[in-house]
Amino acid sequence: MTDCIIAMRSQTYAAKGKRVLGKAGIRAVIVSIDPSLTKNGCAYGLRISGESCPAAADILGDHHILHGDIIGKGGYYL
Amino acid sequence: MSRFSNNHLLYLDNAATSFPKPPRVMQAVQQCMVSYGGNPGRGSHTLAARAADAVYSCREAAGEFFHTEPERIVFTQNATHGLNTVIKGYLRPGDHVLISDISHNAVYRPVYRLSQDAGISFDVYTAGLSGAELWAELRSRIRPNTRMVVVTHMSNVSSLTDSLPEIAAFCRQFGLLCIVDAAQSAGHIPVYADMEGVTAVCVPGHKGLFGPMGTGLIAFSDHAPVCGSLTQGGSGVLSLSPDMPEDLPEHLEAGTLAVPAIAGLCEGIRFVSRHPELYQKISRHSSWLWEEMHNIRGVTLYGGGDGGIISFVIDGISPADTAAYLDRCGICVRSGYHCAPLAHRKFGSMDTGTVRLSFGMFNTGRDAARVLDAVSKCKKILL
Repeated sequence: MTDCIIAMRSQTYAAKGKRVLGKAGIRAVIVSIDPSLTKNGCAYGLRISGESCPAAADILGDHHILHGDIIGKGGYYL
Repeated sequence: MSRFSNNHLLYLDNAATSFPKPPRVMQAVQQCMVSYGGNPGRGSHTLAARAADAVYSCREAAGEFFHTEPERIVFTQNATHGLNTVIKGYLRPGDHVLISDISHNAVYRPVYRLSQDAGISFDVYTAGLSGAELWAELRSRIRPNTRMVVVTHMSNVSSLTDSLPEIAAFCRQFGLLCIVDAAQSAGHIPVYADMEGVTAVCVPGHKGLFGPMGTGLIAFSDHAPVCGSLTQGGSGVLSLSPDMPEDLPEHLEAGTLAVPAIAGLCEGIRFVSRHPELYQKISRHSSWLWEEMHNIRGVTLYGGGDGGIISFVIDGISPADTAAYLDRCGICVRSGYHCAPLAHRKFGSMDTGTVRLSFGMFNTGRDAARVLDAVSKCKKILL
């Protein structure tokens, strides 16, 4: 299954999300998002194994960590 | 340990910056410089990611220490930078602000400048009060346009401590922003961003938190509104927008962070967290010394001796000469006004300033005895 990328509001929130997901047993990698996929330039996201994406989004929400779109593929891992 | 690598020197200027630093602080700085010198938030390659992880770890440690979320921790260069950020970021023309009569210039000067240039007015309230007396003092000072109270939690001249919970409660009742200058108290006595009524706590990283110089932070409470940014520039996100990101901490962190220093600060915070006895220890030594010096004829003490700080003058000898003599004895102290003219006006030491002894984590009772001996000899030799 293709990895997804959950767009985060900032690198700090990406780091927080990564920690929270890690505690829930979901591995996340902080990645830069392809600027062509964003409205305002540089942005960070969490790359997550596809099968964990829905659960990851739920967990972030449960911890009041706001996030942006979930990108199915095309996130650009630098 | 207090003499560190220089056997004959005794460091008693911890109110200026703590020294020595715990070994892990130095190791963390070096490890960053050697192993992961990438720029956090400026890409996601391996070394940038490791640096970002180190920065976030420090936010977590600071957030836990000051009782707020990691993203509510904003890194600054020092407490002065943090205080300037919140004072100038929140106040607008027409606003009125209260500051205390033990304020450091880190508070007094930005507020004074705003009063000259930006249509801000201010009043000075009496620090060290409590209960009904404190409430009446604050109540008498506020105006319809009062927006903020800046609390100096602990004086850097005498370690006089203000009643933060009471002032914060007052701010909450009257809808005022409560900014805490915790430059001397952080790491020594509890100060929390989630204390009812507190808006933000401004802290140096290099004093009671044992981080390197050039570090500081603001711990915002969960309910604090985002203030205007003092500086604008690169933040690593939303690069195409002409405005700074709205979210903390990036909103207030323009430009590259001092990552090696922040890595050291993280270990400093962890060190302090493991040593809750710090304040009791330094207070024990300074209280003993204060009592002993109190018995020396011709020595005038300002304020009490608890809290690790002793300010004094030897009658007939200038503080500068006394400090120079102590330096010749291998004892590092500070003389002068300590950047706190309001406090000297309050304590009655405006004419000369004082000599300040400030104890730290690694000082011992033996150090206190050595100072007592040196002060006694100083009086005999210089007079």
